[in-house]
Amino acid sequence: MDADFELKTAFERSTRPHLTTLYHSAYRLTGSSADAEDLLQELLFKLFRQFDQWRDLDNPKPWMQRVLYNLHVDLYRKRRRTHGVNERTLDSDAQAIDEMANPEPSPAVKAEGDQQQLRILEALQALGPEQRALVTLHLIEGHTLEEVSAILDVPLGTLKSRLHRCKAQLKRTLQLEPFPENVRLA
Amino acid sequence: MNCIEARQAIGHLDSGVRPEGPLAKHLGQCELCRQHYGDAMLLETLGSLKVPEPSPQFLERALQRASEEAVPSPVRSTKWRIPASLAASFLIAAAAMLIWDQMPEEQAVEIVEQRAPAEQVVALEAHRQEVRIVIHSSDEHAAAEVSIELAGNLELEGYAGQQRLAWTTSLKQGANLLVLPVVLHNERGEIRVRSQFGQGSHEVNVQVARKSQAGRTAPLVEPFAPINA
Repeated sequence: MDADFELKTAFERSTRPHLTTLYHSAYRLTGSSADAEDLLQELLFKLFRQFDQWRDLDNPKPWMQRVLYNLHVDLYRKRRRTHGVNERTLDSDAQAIDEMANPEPSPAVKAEGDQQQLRILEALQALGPEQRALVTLHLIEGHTLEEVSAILDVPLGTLKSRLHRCKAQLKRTLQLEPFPENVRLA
Repeated sequence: MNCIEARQAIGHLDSGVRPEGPLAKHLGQCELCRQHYGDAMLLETLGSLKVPEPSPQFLERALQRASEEAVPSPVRSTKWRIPASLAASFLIAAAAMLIWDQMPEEQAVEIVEQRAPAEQVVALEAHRQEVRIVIHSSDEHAAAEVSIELAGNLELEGYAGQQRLAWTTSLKQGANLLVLPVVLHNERGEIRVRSQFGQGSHEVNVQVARKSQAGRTAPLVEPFAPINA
């Protein structure tokens, strides 16, 4: 069998089971379908180039997540330098929400649900790329902080303090306090 | 209400419902339970973020593109072979694959050859294209050192922020192809490819520019310093 064909087949076999999960992570990191597709494509380019380095791993998913995270940070910084922060992302939020596969609610409920989705996406976008990765991996996808530390290559203590700040910011942005601060202090 | 009862009550709160009565009174007095409430609501809110499913067509296309267009690993790949020779019979060709993602390869590749030391100009029509370096060698070499340096706000796709890449590779006799997926952030840039083996070394500078800039006679970029400077 042709060596190139074998390599391509092995790459697809190793990668395909993780594609949907990686796309979901990419969406949470970028906040839009278009950006998630771009990020996933870049990830696959890189994974193919590095295939020799990870093809024999028993569980390659943490490797893939680390590459995804690093690419996300690189692309975020590049875009920030050249075009401003995620202008494309916010433009395409509404379209991305329309694409979500869920039962058709009433227009009023749908509008309210879309608003809530936009609020969450905007709150995530307001975080830096490192913070967003932490929130995505730990609070949304359920990885332990030890696992996140290994994936992001960030010390556990740094992650804990970063998580504390992230939570505080998200609670403020999403208005998740039990009552307004002035009431609490009264 | 004590803290244990408060946390049980928080667990039973419906989404979006503000605490009332004894729970609200307890939260007003207990900072730890207030934090617990905030954490629980945050997890519930973030968990409600719906994520669209990827298009199956996109996934297939992305997988296919990855294995067809990506550059194999420069560290361990057996495909990336630069031929080496102690003789001075290097021939280096740089080719820009124009409109590479739209045209058939045989129509899209424009090859220009030049004897080293080479100074080559390649015109790109897109922000991100492949530049192909072909180096011919008269014999094989087991461990050549190859390096790439980038100037003029160029970068290789997948190697963001790295202006220099170096590795050791085996070389074969004949033509060997190096495909560089170049991202050009400005109108112009320069790639220097250098190989070294035994007592000999060789390098080629490939200047890249957007199509509209390629025909100008002025220097395209600030040139690299001499090798041993």
